[in-house]
Amino acid sequence: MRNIFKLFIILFLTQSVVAQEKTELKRTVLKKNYIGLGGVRNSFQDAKFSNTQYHGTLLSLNIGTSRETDKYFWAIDFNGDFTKLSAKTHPFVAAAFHGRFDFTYARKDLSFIHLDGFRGGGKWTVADVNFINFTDLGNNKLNFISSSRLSLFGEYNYAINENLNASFSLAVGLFGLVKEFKSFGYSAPQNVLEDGKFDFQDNGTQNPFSLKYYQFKTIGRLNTIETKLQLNYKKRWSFYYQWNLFNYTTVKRYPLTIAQHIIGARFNFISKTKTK
Amino acid sequence: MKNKALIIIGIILFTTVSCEKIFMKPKPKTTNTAIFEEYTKLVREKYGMLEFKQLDINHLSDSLRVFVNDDLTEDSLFNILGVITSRLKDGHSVLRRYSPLGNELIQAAFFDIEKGYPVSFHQGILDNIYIHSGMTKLSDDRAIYGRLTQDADIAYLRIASFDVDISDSELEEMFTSFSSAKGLIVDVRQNGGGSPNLSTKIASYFTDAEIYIGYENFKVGPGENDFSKSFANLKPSTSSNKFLKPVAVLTDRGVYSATTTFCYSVNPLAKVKFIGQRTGGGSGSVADGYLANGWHWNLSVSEFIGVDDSGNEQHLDNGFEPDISVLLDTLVTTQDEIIERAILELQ
Repeated sequence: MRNIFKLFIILFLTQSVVAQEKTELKRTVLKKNYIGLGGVRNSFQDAKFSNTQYHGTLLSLNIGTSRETDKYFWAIDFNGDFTKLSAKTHPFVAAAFHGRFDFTYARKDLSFIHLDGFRGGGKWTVADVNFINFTDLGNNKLNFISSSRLSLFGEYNYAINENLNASFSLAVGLFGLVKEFKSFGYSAPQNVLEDGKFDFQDNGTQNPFSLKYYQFKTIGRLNTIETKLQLNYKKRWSFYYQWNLFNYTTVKRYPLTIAQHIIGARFNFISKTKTK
Repeated sequence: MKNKALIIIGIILFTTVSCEKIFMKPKPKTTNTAIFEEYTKLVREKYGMLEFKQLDINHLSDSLRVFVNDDLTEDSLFNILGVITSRLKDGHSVLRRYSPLGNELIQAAFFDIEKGYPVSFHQGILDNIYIHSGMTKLSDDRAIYGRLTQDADIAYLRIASFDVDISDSELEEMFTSFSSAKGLIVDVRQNGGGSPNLSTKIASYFTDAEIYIGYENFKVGPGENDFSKSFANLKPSTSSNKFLKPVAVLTDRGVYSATTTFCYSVNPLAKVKFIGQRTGGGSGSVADGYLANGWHWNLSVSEFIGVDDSGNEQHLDNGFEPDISVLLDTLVTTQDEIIERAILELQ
């Protein structure tokens, strides 16, 4: 854990400082603005209430912008998806919305990794919101899980031919702030009940959207893995398969898990190189 | 080097996608025995009042397990699980079975908390004798309030359910109209609950100082001792229209859930008297969910220990006796004895 943390600090601080010290006379910047549309298959299980797995397939949207030079890469992405979850064993369904806002920064000039095409850095998931509404339930109809977290990020790019290249990225969550609205039993955050702070007159304990009662959690309790395999065709098009996992445990052996498989196509409506 | 990288990518992709299965618990079975075990585990781990109810869930499930096998019909299995539900003696704890499409309730198991208690509310008497055109009715009968013709100095507020929205401005208007009254009757008979936030908000109009009202003991983990207490204070409303004069709260066995929250919130106040019949209780907070076969369960996951105006603690799940016990004579349709007694008390 300590080594990962050190590596993370190295990536974010040392490399950027070194980079700033180097004077670049000329550099080319590849700017991309893009929109992606695809299908998503969501899986959801909250073991605190049932081991039943709920699945749903529907739409996924990605909007983002990126900049890339021969030294660094950064991207800002918004991802949203909507599905209707159901279980094979019973007819009751839940509407699930997932929205995420990410900032990714990676360096290409990592001297300690001898692999062409590799870039490494970090991803700050500024906000990740899962909103799952079991419409036929009463007090426990709402699952609301939101987090802001930092992940270690790595990407490998491979040119297949002149028009086609592939990239594979992996982001592993390290730590973050997280809030789950449901506790082991009731519709209030677990830490609110464990700390004896439940109060009908305190909106923060009752309102899932309140910014109070977020908790700092590290890998182990808050596990996130994101992988993406992407094929980039010429300047404009990309096709991707993404797999995301969110696993959060407030009560030992009763985790909440959300997994996503996304297949989509991305159109770079701006893709141009500038020399500065 | 590139080939090596591609192999590594392939391995990472394969293992991470497989991780989903590692992180998720195996899908539950839906056989009769599996459903029986799932429900008894839920009650054992989540129900917040096994000790108060003196229910040995392990003994009960052991004694019922012998009747469960995978050849039982759904009706029979439901009836067996229903024994557990009714043994909880808790109006909040319910088990429901729906049709395969989920649109029709086929069976429900619950405990009837009003069984054996006298009728203490008559809508006809209330409408004909006490409610009049000069009273204000919030739309959809969310609340009725105004002065009583029997004594114009006494205000009357009827809230039939807390499962409604009453806005802050409506509450302000309501309590402004009470300001010149010398006493207020709050009639919550047959109010089975709804939003505890609303009931607490109304309760906050009856105090000008923060008062200790008790504690809620929440089940926070699967172990039998995994409880955590949240001590509760009633904080006064920020409104300038608080009602600090004598209040009579009319109760009966139909007072339940969020209405019990209202009652225990104002119970420590010396100026508040309860008149009528024993309340229903249901002081615990409720969780719900689905069994693997889709049966819908509700369980109380906490218990509330309240304090009265003498500071005595009492477990409120089975309700509490009012300060003044009054029976309603439903054969006499010209008066509501409970309202009349409240008027007398406030005079």
